[in-house]
Amino acid sequence: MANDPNVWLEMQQQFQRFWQGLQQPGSNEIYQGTQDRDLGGLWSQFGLGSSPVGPEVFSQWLNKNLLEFLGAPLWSSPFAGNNSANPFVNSSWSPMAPSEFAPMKELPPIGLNRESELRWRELRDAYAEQIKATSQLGRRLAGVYSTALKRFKQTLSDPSGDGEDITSLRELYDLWVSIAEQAYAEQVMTADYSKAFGNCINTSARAAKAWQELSDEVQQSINLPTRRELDSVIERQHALQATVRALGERLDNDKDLSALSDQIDTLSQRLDGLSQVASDKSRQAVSAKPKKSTPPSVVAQASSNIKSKRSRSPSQRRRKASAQPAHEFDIGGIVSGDGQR
Amino acid sequence: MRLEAAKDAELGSCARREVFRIDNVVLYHYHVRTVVNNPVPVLIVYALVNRPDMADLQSDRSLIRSLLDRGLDVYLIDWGYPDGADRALTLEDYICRYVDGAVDFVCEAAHQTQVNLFGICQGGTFSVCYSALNPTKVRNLITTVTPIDFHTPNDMLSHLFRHVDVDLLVDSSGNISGDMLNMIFLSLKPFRLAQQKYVHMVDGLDDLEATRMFMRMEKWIFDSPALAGAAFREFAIGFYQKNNLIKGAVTIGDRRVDLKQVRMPVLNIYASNDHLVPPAASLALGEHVGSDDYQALEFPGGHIGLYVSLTAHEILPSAIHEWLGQR
Repeated sequence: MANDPNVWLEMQQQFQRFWQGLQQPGSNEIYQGTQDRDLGGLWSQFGLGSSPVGPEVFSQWLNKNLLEFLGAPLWSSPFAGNNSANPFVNSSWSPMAPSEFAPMKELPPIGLNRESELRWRELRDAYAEQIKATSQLGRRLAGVYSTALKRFKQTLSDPSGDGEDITSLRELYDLWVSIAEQAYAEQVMTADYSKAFGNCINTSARAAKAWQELSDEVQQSINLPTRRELDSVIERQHALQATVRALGERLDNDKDLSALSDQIDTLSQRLDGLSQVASDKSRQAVSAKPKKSTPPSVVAQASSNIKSKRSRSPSQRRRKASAQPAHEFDIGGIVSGDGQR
Repeated sequence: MRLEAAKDAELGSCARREVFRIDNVVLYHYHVRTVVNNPVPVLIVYALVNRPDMADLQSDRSLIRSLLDRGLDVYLIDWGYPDGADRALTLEDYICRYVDGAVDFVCEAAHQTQVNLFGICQGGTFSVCYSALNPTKVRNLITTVTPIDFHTPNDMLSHLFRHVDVDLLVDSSGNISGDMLNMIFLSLKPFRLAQQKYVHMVDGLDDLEATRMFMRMEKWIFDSPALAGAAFREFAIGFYQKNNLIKGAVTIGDRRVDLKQVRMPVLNIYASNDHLVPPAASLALGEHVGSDDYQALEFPGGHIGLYVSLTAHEILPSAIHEWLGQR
């Protein structure tokens, strides 16, 4: 087939007829007839004219499966639970059928719908893998049942076994659970089961992701937010929150600096006041005694106070800054502001 | 009819009030029930899986009530129900913001510089990480049924997760739903947990209180919050699949968790028949912490029985109270 260009053209013609037919009343008739009204001229330039079309097997396959596919509910996701409604559940979607069409299924899609086609193919493949993985896991679980049943029978038939003491249906049931649980645990702890379980989860996740991306395509087409957009918004919001927190912490530190600055201003004013007082006293005493400078102990204590505040931890500084207004700052043992000691 | 009568059984027996909140995370302070005889508050850090109601299921099976009755001051972090907007929350958010914020609040409220950190299951793992990162804020560390070594031979949960593509799972589902987690937990013992349990329930239907207890447990088991996707990704890959905690290779944010920094006294309580966290997975803590004061305590029972069985109710709170009282 691949070496005969006419076959390919016939397929394309048939495909075109199918889509054209879908837009007309009584579309099913299009597959039966040979009337090629609108595109006859187009096809004729390839030397095919309007003669009856393509390989019968392809024609039948196309008609059957596309109708089934289009008739299937779009919401029949791999996780909906109703597999009979899934468009891919039909075996003719598997890579094995029909053999003439198989090579085409692997050709890379081209044209306007390329990306969309890729998404659909991914969903098809993912779903097929999921069915396969689920089936493999199911076979292992079936093996658990058969092992458990075998042991259960052995136990009951063994006169010296646990089955000897069974006197009620409840005890029989409890024995079954105990044996089955043991058989199950042994199977679960094998490397093969772990792989099969992981494969089952992974293929389900792959199918869910494929379905999600198709859903995104639909959402986008009707101007609704997609999962991808929401994820992006959430991640940006998370990053922004972290930035805001970091800024808040910086702001807290800045508040400390600001409070410290206010305190230094207050100190300066007090020192100025003290200097003034000292100066006044000096002037008053100048006539009687030699001139004195500002008491060094006061300045030293004030400096020491500033130094000790700087050495506090950031959290201590935060608490202190909010709890102690600048006007209550202690200067050398004097509680300023209200003048109390 | 008994089942009908038990349908409204509520969880929780102790009075408490919300004292602190960040995002969906709430810190509760339980009302004291007697004179507090240990000034350092106990801060309970629960797992992200299921709800913390299990620590206060009903009055005669309440770990919290028992701790209060012995004169301890108890706080509890409730992680809430993460929604779609929480899917980007990381372990750094949980440990360095939520737990740390709660610790700071409790310290300030109790006029203390440290707390006694009490971790339950995964919350124990978080508590260990927090203690390693902030050793000066934790006076004593108590872990219960806490996984530390995730690759011990009988760890069925870890074994099942070994080949799961966690990135793909999180990318496809965002948050990990509670239903999915429950499915996995049930799959560890499917014949007992999905069948036999309900057959046995029928036996207890004549006893209304037993039926109520059963219904409370059912509610607790299936009231499962989703797990924030990013945090799940980190925990499943880093802890479960790579077993990085005991290798010293876990990083929370940009800080490496070095278990040798856990230098405070440690009481590690594990359950001998734990099917979720095998004893060996918990006992590994003793081999890796830097504490000189480490004590392991075995409880004869299962993962949940440690908190809700009558035996546990008699043993556990007394052991904890006594241990704390000596430190």
